[in-house]
Amino acid sequence: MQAQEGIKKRYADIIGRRLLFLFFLSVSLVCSITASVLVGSASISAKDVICALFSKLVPFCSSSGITQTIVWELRLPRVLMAVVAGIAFAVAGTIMQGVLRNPLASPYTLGMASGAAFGAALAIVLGIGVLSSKSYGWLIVTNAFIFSLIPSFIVVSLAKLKGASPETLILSGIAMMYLFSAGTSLLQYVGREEDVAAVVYWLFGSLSKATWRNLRMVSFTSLPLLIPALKLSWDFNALTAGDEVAKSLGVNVEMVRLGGVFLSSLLTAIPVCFLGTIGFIGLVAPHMARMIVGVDHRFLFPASGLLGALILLIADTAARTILSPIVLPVGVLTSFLGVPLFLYLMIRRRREYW
Amino acid sequence: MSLRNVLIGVILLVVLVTATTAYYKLRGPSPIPTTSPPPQTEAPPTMVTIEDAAGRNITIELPVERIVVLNTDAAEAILILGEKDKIVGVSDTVHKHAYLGMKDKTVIGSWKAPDYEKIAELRPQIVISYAKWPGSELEENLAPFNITVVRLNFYKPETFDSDLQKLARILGAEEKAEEFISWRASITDLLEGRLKDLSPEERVRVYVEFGHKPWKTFSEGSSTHQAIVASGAINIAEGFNVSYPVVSGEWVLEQNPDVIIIADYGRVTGYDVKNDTAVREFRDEFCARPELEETDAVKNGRVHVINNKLLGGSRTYIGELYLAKWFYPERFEDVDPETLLREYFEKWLGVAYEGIWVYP
Repeated sequence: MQAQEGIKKRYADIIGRRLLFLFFLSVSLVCSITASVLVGSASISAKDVICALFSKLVPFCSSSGITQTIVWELRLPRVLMAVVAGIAFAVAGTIMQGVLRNPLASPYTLGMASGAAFGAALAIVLGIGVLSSKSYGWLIVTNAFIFSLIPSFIVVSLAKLKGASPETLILSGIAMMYLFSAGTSLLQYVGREEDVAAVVYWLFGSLSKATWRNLRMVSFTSLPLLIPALKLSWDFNALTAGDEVAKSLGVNVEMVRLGGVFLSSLLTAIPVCFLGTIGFIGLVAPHMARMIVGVDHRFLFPASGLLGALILLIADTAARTILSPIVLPVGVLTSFLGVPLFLYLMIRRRREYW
Repeated sequence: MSLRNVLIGVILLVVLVTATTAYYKLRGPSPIPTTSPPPQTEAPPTMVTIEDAAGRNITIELPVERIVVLNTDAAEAILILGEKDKIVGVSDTVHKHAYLGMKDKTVIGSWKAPDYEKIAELRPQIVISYAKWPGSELEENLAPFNITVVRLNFYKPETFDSDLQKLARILGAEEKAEEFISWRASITDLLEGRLKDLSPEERVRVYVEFGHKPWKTFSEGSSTHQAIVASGAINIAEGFNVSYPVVSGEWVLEQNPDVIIIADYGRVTGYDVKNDTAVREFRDEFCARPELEETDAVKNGRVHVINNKLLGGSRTYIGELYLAKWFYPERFEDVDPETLLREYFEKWLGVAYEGIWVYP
């Protein structure tokens, strides 16, 4: 009886600590959002920013039209887009790592980045699109979206043929990556210099395309996808113990795996087609979250999402302020920040996480 | 457990939806990207409508007093029109090039990724950029500030005249534009006149290489190829499907060109190059390639390096004279292209003529 009480208490403690950490992360995120809106290359004082933000609700001060527009039309959508994209990438990465049972997996493991790059290059160099559209910008977005899903589609089809083991998925993913990278290189070979430069720039990823309209589209399509991911938390937990164990617990392993790939693909494709291929968030955020909250996906998903949002937000804020007025591409900064972190995690890696 | 997490998700979603709807309620109607007349007296504002290089019809309110320029070709065009003072912001490339004389202007980032906050702060009326780059994010990000994006290329020889005229209409400098266009036309007329009666047997066969990219050449669809054709020569790489094909050394040797032209993209030639040591070394290295040693071009010393701006770039009309003079020296004995280049810099851009542009 006593032992039972002891165990229950310990369990409640652990859960309590994890919830506390999630709360702490949320608070940090809110603070980061505020801080990011306060800084920028335009010389606007913090007071003016706060004034611009809240004077619509309570007109306690007046700020110039330019300040209001800069804060509401340039900074706010960009900051919120970083948060949403960060959550999407991180959760996609967590799903990938759970489904493939591999700590080195990321949303791009199945070749999505190469597919998206190929689609964008097709639009930029040849002007060919799946949905032929008058607007050049839309051509790139729709192409990138559809072509980023093609590798996943092929991988999933192969998995249905040969069985959905992690090895099959990863190998097919690598094959897809090489195929589409070669396609992109070929397009760069035939393209004009300025088009090639544009493709390269697109590959870096940038949050400059964050407008309210794009933000609405990205958040309304990707955030609802978080709900099925959360619902599958226990299934993912079972999956970490191995396919046989999971099956014996009543988990439909193949469905969960393929469903996970499907969810992760969408969660990645949506921000990527608007923003370009921003890397490393999907790889590093789940790892950091796992080190703190453990492998229970009920907490891993939220923690990873919040961490991803924090990382991307900080990286983008740094990207647009460090060398102001030069705006660095955020994909470059996430890689620079991510690689040392990643190497550190690799060296420190202990079996018990898996 | 599962329920709790679903709850978390739903809460997140709800928060976001509320935030966005709240924003829309507070913001009011979205800003329309047209120009709005400033508070004025009785006279209505003068508007001018042009079709820019991206094929869009743009209406701009005159007079335009504040301009942001994103690339050097547009900056040169503004210098030609004599409206340098109206520029309030430039990209880092424009700022960097000393000959443009824009070191005192505010830098607003790179031409591919401008900093929109900095641009907005400067309150320009128009921003001039290339037709394709940066993409539509430029209009989307600047629309709330009522800044019009004018897309003009200036680097394409076939549209330069019309681009210049459109810009002149916006800046009220039509006369200057017409003067420059006639000056340019006189140069092209001279070239065409001297090459009029060229017979097919007389035509020189040329191999053009992309500087520092061995065996990369130019074919149909590239402005460099057009420049070669305009100078009366035959490009041995004509008729390929790709604009910038990479060929093999043996093929060039087999074709045995009479003259070789190397387009240098600002590495060993340009305004800031002080002497010809670098370009001489570059040319010597090039001629030492085993495949080329036996070609007529190398044997007769007819290998020339020319800056890319003069070959298919914004100053290609002067470059074509250089080329024609190298191809048919007898026909152009009395013509000195360098005088014209000097005139371009001194008279039209208003700067001193400097740098190494061709070799030899």
